[in-house]
Parts: sequence; structure tokens; C-alpha cells
Amino acid sequence: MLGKTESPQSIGTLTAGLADENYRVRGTAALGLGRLEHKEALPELLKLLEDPNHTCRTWAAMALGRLKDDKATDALIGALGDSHYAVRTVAADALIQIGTPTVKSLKAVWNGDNSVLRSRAIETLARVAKSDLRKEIEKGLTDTEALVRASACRAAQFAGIKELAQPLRKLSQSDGDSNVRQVAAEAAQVLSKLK
Amino acid sequence: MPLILSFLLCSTGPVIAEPDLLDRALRAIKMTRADVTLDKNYRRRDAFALKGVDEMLTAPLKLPDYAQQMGEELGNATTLRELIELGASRLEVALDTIPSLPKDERKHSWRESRWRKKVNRALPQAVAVEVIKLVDAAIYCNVVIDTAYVQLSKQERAVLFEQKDVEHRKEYPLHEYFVRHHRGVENVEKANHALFKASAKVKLGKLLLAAAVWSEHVENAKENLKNWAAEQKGIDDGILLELRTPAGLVMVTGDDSSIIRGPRPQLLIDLGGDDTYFTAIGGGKGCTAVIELAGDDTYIPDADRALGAGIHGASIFIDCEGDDRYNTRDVALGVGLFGVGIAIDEAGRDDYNAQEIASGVGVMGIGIQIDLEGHDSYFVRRMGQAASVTRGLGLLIDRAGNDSYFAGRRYGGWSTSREFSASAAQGFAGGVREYTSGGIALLLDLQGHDSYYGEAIAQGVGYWFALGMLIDGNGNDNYQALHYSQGSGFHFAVAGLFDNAGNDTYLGGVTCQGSGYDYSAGVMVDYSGNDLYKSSHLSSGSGGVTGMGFLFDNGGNDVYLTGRPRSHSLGGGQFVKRRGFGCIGGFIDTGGKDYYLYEPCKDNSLWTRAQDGVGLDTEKGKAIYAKRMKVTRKVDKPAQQKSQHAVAPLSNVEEAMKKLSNWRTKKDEKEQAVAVLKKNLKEAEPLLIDHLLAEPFYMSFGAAYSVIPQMGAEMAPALVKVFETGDAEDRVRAFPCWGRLSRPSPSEH
Repeated sequence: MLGKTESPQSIGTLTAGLADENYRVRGTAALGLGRLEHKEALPELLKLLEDPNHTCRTWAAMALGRLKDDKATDALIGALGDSHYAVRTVAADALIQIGTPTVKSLKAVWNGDNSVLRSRAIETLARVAKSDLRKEIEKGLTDTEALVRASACRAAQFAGIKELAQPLRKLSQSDGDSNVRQVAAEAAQVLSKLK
Repeated sequence: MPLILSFLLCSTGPVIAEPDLLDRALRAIKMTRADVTLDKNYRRRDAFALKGVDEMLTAPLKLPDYAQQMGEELGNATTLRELIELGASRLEVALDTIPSLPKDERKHSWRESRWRKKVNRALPQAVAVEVIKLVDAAIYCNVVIDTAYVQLSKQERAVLFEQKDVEHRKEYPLHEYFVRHHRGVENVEKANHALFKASAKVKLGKLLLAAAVWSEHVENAKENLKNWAAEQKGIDDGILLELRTPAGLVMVTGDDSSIIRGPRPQLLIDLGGDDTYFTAIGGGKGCTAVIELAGDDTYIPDADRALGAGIHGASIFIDCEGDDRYNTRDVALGVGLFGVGIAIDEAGRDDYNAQEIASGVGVMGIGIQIDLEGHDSYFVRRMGQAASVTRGLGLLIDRAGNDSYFAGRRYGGWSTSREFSASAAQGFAGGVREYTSGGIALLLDLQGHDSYYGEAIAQGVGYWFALGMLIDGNGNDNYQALHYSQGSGFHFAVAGLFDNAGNDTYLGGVTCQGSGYDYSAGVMVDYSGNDLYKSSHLSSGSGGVTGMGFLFDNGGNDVYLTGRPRSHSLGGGQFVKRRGFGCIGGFIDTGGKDYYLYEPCKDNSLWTRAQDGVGLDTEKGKAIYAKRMKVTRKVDKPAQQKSQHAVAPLSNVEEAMKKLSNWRTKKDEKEQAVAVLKKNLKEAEPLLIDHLLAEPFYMSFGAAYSVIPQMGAEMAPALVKVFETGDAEDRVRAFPCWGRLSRPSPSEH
């Protein structure tokens, strides 16, 4: 409620709430601070991103996305490998909200070894830096891991790279993994409709 | 040396489990098994919460094994006491030790001596001994029951015990709450708080202990009386004893066909004959029991709370033999409301026809209905056939026969909407939203080809911190229900539907067949057979609004008439940004050649939905869930009694119908009449259908309900005609017969 009032007077109460013993109080205080875009709360929110409760971590990541502060990039990149899927999904969203400053870090993850992280990174990158991504996506479409290939198909769709419609169509018929074929076909269909 | 070292390294290093099909499917949506969990911390703490439910919320994928283990334990229980103890452990209630009773409670006053003498004078010695033992046990257990309420203040006792005159019916407040939601009460919130505050103070351990002791005595008495009756050449007719004792009214009736009306006995023993009961026997406060040794009996209680309804006490109802008809009002056939209620029918084709809160319902206690043999039909309007609310265990065990289960409105006029009603049945567990967590419910059908029909909320459903389950053993089964059904959890609950064998048909609506809605999880597993699934949105292994749903089908060539594009079905998930939490949908079909109606679902393929939903169909790989319950307990078949009178031969179909319509006709005569009808089925068919649709409705209970199923599949076309041409009431009457038609065994199928 305090967050929704958008009143600066509530900031003190919300900041104190971040240290509350009840996890829901901590989490909702983070959401409130995010809603108020209170940038001074960044250190506390980064700390909350390591909270033992996954709901707190999720809401902290949400708040960091709203702050749009590139200082949170590294922590959010780390959260892409969180033990709970909600934190991972929201962290990716937060990185998209922060935007261009996250590209370098995301590309570093994309060039790494962990295929699950790579697949998440390419999908996130596609939403952040649409135009510069063709090479990476093309590389992804030929990856050995089906998960990465499927994510590269989605990335092509998110980035709206029309030139990739043809290779995607080809992939939708030739790939050995049924899920990649399905995702490639969906992406090719979307891209071919783009003007 | 290097060999030893490498051996040591291998043996002490971490064991990495080989990823299975579920791991493979979850990886496609960038998840692991660790992600399949719900935050139990969301719960609103209350005094009635069960750790077992919390555990399942934390790890919903454990539910199939949990359910099979529970089914195995309960299915293998050999005594009622064992069943109650197992139930108590699931309700996390420790049975108290036997309290030492005040000395004067054990003394026999002159009044007691007098009733003993009267019992001894009126009854054969063996029967008198059992009656006296039961009365003594009831006196003792009643004192134990009283100790469960010692912590309650006078006002709190009034909340639980005071009877109110509601529409000229005396009701207990708790009964009133669950049946009619405090109708006529001005401040419902205040009334609820008072009710649950008082309920939390009741010592459930004492109530369950008293019930365990009482059930042991009743079961022993039944066995002894059965053995005694088998040795007798002739037993007297009429009412042998009707006597007020310190444990209440005791009645013993003889071998003839009696009609019992009048005051409710606390203890009733019938030694034989086809009896009709218009009194609400086997129900009420304290310890009550009914032991019906033989005969095709009809039970039409004239009031609520009957036939194994333990309210603030323990009630045991046992019918040992015969094809029986039960036509009850509310709260009947194994209902525990602050205590334990057990109803057992040991043999015969039985019809259970109940209104609301019936057939294995537990609220602050344990409600169990058991049917050991025969093709049976179960009807309930709402809340029954294994249902539970606050700290309750609702259990229905049907051990054999092709059964039909019907839960919903039958004659119109009552419903939550024009389209359908809330059945809250067939393995439904629910809490009282914003007040208390729910309990555990399990419908366990071990054998036979069964039909399940429910409207909304039926067939393994959980609601508000509760756990609802349905397990069906062998047989080709039909499941039909509307919304929130067939292994569906909604609003902070867990639920499951598990079919262990056979070729099954599942017809559902929205939110069904392994679906979770709003911080809930639903799991459905079909362990084998060629199955057909039809459903609508949010179904077949799908999660919605931060819920999780899983459908696993092992083996068989299956048909999926579901999964329309953009619907949440066959592995549908979503991420709810507003809540910062997602839904997971998982569908895995192993083995067989399967048919899917909509793309992208295909045989031998993996597909992902928009977000967090995955489906996998494969012929290779091990099924995720293979462990099924093993129920080994053998049913002791009652000894076949020899016919004591010659049966006159029947000449034609009309005569046979007349015999079957008469409730006084003996079993062997009925068997002969059925044989005549079978022989002349063409002639008999229209007569049977006329009988089925007879007015008033209870006329059809005479022959049609029990005879048509015995005629077999040849009656199917006539029943189909009723479905096609009859009105709603006709269809409702035809349904239970359809479900129980003698069918070929699964191996022949």
C-alpha cells in the first residue's frame, strides 16, 4: 500500500521493512521501493537478492528492474542461475528493463559454457539489442544443444530479424529435435508476416 | 594400487542420478525438479493445518507415491481399529493412552443390574453376552468421549452442542455450518470464529481413542454373533429386546422380516431377515452401533445423522449380507463430525442413495464407508463419496464389483448455477476459506469396471490447504466431470487422480486431468491401458494463475481430444508477472502409439508452450511413476446359507417381474426370477425399462436398479434409447444401470 501511494514519506518505512523478519514484509517492501523508483535503496535490494526465501528474491529482482540502474546488472546476471525459476525469469525481465548497459555482460554469458544460461542469455539479448544480434543467433541455430537452438529460434523471433525466416523454415524441417522444429516453425511464421 | 584408488573414488564420489524423462522435459523449459515446488509459507497459520499437506505443497511430484502408499496401508488394514489408527496418523493426531476412569463410573448400580437381568432373560445366552459387553464398552467409551471436551468453557460447549431449531429440524451448529452455511445466522464471521475457536480446543486424540476401542468391541461382537447365527437351526422372530440401558436404548430383532419405526436405538442387532428401517439407526452423539447379520434390507431413515454417523462420538454400522438399499437424508453412511463414523456393507449389490454429507465424510474426525463385494451404485447430491473438511479424513473403500458413482443434482431445483452444481465429492478435500485449513480425502476403488460421474469439484480435488485423492485399481473405468475435477488442486491445495490399470475414458471440462490453479498442484497418473482424454482449457497437465499441473500416462495407445491452440492444455504454463511467480504445466506420455487432435502435440515428440509448459510423448524411456499399491488382504466370503424352503417354479416374465418388485421376496426366489428374465430378455426388456422410469421414483428401486445391470450388455441399446429420448430425470435413472452393466473382463477387452 505504501508503495502504491507513491509518497516519498513512505520510503523510510519501506526501507525499514526490507529487514523485517517476515519474508512477505521484506518482499512487499522491495516491491514498494521499486514502484517509487527509489534508487538509494539499490544496496539493500541487491542484498535482498540473496535472501533465503525465493519470493523475496523474485520481488527484489522485480524492484531492481524498475530502478533501471546498470549497477544491478552483475547481480541480476548472477540471478539468471538462481535455484528458483521465478527468480531466473524475473531477473531476465529486469535485465531487459535496464536495457543496453546489460548487453556486454549478457554477451559474456552467451559466450560461456553453461547451455541453460546461454539459452536464457540469447533470449534476453534479443529483447535488449535487437539489431546487432544476427551473427550470434545464426551461431545459436547451429549449436549442438537443442535447448540453445530452440532459444536462438525464439531470439530471432523476438529480435524481428526477417532475414532469418528462411533458415528457420529450413530448420523447422531438418532439425533432429521435435521441440526445435516446432519453435523454428512458429518463429518463421511470425517473421514471414513482418512487413 | 591405481585400480583400488579408482574404485574408492567411484564408491565414495557423489552419485549423479541419470536424468529421466521428466528431467528431459523440464530442461526444455530451463527447469529442474527443484523448481516444482509451491511456497508453503504462503499459508495462513491455523490450528488445523496438516504437515502432510504442507509437504505435498512443497513437493507435489511426491504425491503419486504418497497416494499409493496410503492406499496400500488402508487397503491392507485388517481391523476397524487399525483403520482408525492409520487415519489418526494421517490426521497427525496421537491416540491418547486409555485414561483411568473415576471409580464410581465402573460400579454397577442396582439399575444396571436390573437391565442385565432383563437382557439375560430376553435373549439367547450367546447374544446376551455380546449385548452386555457392548453396553459396558459404550458406557466406558462415552466417558472417554466426555474427557475430550474438558477444556471447553460453558459457552464454547454451547457453540458445539446446542441444538437449534432450523426450519423445524433440530441441528447441531457444526452440521448447520457445513450443510447450509449458517443459514439464518446474522453475523456469520462471528459465528465462524466462535465455532472454530471451540473446535480447536477439542481433544481429537481422545475422541479417536474412544472410537478405536468401540470399533474393536463392535467388530468382535459381530464376528461372535455371526458364528453363533451360523450354528443355529432356527432363530426367534419379532423384536426380542427393546430396553433402556445406561448406554441408551438397545434393540435386538429376530430372523423374520421386520419393519422398524419409532425411537432411535443406540445399539441395534438384527439376527436375520429382510428388514426395513424407517428409524435413523446408527447415528448421533456418543457411542452407537448397528449389526445387521443377514437379509436384503432397506434403510430409509426418517432423520439426518444415521447409518454410521458419529457426531461427538463414534458410530459403527455393519451390514453383513444381502442386496441392500439405502435411501438416506443428510449426514449418513460413514460420517465423522467430531469423532468417527463407519459404515460397512460386507456383501451384495447395494444401492446407496444419499442427500448431502454422506458416504465417507470426515470433519474434525474420520468418516469411512466400506463396501466389500458386489456391483454397487453410489448417489450423493453434494459433499460425499470420500470428502473431508477441517482436520478430517474422508474415506470410501470399495473392494470389488463394477460400481457407479454419481455426485450431483438429480431432480433439478438444487444447484449453485443453472448449468451445474458443486459436487464436492469422489475424493474431495477442502478447507474453510479464510478460517481453517482442510483435511485429507481418498476414494479407493480396488476392483471392477467403474463409472464416475460428477459435476464441478469431483474425482480427486483439493481446495484450500487440503489434499484430495482418487485411486482406482483394476478395470476399465469411465470418468466424467465438469470443472475443477480429475486430479485438480485449486486455491492453495494439492490433489491427484490415479488409475492403476485398464482402458479408461476421461471426460472433463475446464481445470481438470492434472491441473493446478492458484498456488495449487494437481497430479494425474494413468499407469497403463489404452485411454481416451477429452477436456477443455487448463487441463491435461497444465498450471494456471501460479499453479502447477502434471499428467503422466504410462503405456497404451491413447487418444487426446484436447490441447486446442492457445488453450492451456497438454503441458500448458504461464508466468504471472504481477505475482512474480509462474505456473508449470507438464505432460508426459510413455509408450504406445498415441493420437493428438491439435498441433504441436504429436506422437514421439517434445513440445513447449508459450512459457513454462512442456509436453513429451515418447516410446523410449522408463515411466516416471511405476510403483502401484499392493492390496493383499483377502475378503472373507460369507458362508452361503442353504435355502430352507422350496422355491416354486416361475412360468413367465410377468410373474418374475412381480417377484422382483416385491421387497419381501427371498434371495433364491429373486435369483430364479432373474434367470427367467435373462432367458426371455426380448420380452423382459420393455418391462424393465418401464420399471426403471416408473413414478414415483422410488418404485424403480424394486427391480430395475438391481436387475438391469445383471442382464449385461444386451440391455445397452435400450438404455441408450432412454438417454436419447428421455428427459433429464430419465437419463439420471438410466445412468447407474449403464455404469454397472456386466462387462467383459479387462483381459477380454
